[in-house]
Amino acid sequence: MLPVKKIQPHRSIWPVLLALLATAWAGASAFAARVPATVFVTGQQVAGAAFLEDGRVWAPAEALARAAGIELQPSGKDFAVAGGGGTIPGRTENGVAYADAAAFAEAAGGVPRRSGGRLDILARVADVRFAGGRLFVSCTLPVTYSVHRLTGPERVYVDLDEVILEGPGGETRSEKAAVRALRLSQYAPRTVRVAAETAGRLPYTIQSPPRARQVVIALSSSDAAPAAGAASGPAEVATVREGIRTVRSVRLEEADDGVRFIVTADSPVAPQEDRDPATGQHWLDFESALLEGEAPEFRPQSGLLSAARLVQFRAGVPRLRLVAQTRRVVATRVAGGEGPNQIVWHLSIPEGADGDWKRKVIILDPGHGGRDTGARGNGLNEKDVNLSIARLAAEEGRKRGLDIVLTRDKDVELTLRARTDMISRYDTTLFVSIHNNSNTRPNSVSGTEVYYHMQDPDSRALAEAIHDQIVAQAGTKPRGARSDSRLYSTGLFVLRNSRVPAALVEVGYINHSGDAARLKDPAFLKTVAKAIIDGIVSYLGGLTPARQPAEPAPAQDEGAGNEQ
Amino acid sequence: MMLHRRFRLLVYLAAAAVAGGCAAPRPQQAPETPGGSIPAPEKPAAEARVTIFVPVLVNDEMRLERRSVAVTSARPGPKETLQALLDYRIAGQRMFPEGARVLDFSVGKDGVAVVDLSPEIQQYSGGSMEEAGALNALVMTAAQFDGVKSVRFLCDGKEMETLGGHADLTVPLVPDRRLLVEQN
Repeated sequence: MLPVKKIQPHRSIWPVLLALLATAWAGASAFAARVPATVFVTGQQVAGAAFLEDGRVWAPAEALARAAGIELQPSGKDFAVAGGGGTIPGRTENGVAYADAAAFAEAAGGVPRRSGGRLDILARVADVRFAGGRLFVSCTLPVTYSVHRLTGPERVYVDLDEVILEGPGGETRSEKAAVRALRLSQYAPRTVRVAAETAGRLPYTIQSPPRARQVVIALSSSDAAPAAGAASGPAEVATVREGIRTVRSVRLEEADDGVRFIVTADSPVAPQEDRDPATGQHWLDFESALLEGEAPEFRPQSGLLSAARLVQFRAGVPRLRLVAQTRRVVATRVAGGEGPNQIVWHLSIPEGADGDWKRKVIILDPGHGGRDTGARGNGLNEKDVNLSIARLAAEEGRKRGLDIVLTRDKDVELTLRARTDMISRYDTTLFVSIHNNSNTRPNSVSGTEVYYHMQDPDSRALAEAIHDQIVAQAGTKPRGARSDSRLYSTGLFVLRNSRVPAALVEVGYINHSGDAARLKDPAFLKTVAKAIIDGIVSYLGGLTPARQPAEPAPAQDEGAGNEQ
Repeated sequence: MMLHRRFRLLVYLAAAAVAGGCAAPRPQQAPETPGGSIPAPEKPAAEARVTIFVPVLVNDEMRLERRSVAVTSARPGPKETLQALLDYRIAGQRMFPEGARVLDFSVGKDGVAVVDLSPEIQQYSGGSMEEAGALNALVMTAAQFDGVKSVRFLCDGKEMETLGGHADLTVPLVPDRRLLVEQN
């Protein structure tokens, strides 16, 4: 047995230890009122370190806004929610902006519930509506939900988690409609149930992401007659509408960094947004809507839009379309306006795209590496193809004046966290991850898809710009710019954890022989690399967006529609 | 049989030694094995069947379809059901690495199910669509059990960052019923 030497503190260090203890005690006293806290927005934990101090829970403002899917506008050290809602107290600690989480909840239309160091922000039901064969359930915050079917009588119900009703709930009926009754109730302390009693067994399809502010359930595509006999109930209770809404006004406002259309209707509207890469048109479709009076004439003056117009389709169920012809890559988003019957459509220069597009730091991230091969097939390892494209893109980007950083420039393993941590190490403008795909059935799917996180407008603009360039230049099959919520409710790791606009490119399918043959061709890889850089440059404003022939523009499909 | 067991033990130890934990880099993926060369699974002792959800392609998009499969356990629970999915083959190919096992399954009061997988799961590789099919199949299969609202994955008791290099497994995944085929 080895001799054990007992270590004792030397007498002369006692004063030092006592001084250290006194300092620690004083420090602890100064922060005695501050304890760690956790904040959940409708069940989703807000990232970052929150704390409780003097009865208030403070959470990182950016993470709070992201979890709630809303935009926070700085107002001095405080914040405001876009579209109103009052001032939210803010403070900055070690360079991080914090917001009063309870005040944030109120301003965002949520309900704060605190228990010790935990603050839960619950959502309210804003509107429940059945129109055009679809059930729309709108909440003030994004929620998770589940859809079920019951018989006797036939009904489909939606359970909304972390949602509360402030009233007693209620019911409305309509014997002529495909949905005979809509019922709203507080099924459990934090679960609201919306039950749609149907006229017979109707197929249903869920059309909204698993975490959404507006839950959309298609109950029938053709069998459901427009609901009739609207009956109004308590304020919070669903209304079975006639199906037709009136758009009272559409106004265009322009500023240096973007434009916005303010649309006011006679009842809540939930327009669908779309675009046509072939023409550069973006549009909003208002289903079952008629414009009141003459269509206004828009004369956009800023460099963002070349034209804008309203198109009224009258054949079948009327639809109003607001079309904006853009000159450059724009970030678009639909937000609430003043009151429930107003929406605001923002089209703006995307984040990081202001000023000189050169010298911007762009992180290119070749997916996988080392023992993580990624997808394999047709003699290819995804990690190698990704690295080849990234290296070529880096070369092209540097030639064009961009400051390119590669997360890896050789065949090494990197965790996903290590990749996104690099964003903070540089003054990063954009993060682009380069991948290739595979699926469960070889030679089934081919083509290019580019992912962005959830509904982030800037990342979506980046994904669209890169997608359009690859498809136009490399001739791959367009599978579209897609939200990563199509894959998972939480999205993809590198996109979710990027604090700058980010996209994940899936150039082609390695287990598709056609795509694989192209991915083995150095000329093809070079074309793809150039297209990725062109997409980035067009996002930044240094290049006209790609205009490739795509699917027919929906506007042209509506030949029977009467344009106003 | 003894040789087979020893081989599995060796694979397990090698994986653990190389990986050094679930957050560490993943070990070399074993080569894909055609369905025919794998020893046939033992026949179920009882005719118990479980429901799993498996990825299918519909109009070039990944969806999930319900399948009823036989298992050896007389009273299969969540663990056995999820194991049936881990062992499932599509056109003779495994979706998940050979030897991947469900070590534990539990459901918290908050409705978060925790599925603890054995270290072999780290040998998984695939494209984002393939990974989404595999993970969503696991989530949907787990979500059929009482009280499950979302699913969190662990590897040998430790947090998993991802499965195939795309998904974020540091947070629970919510079942996405839009993916279901024949949901009515």
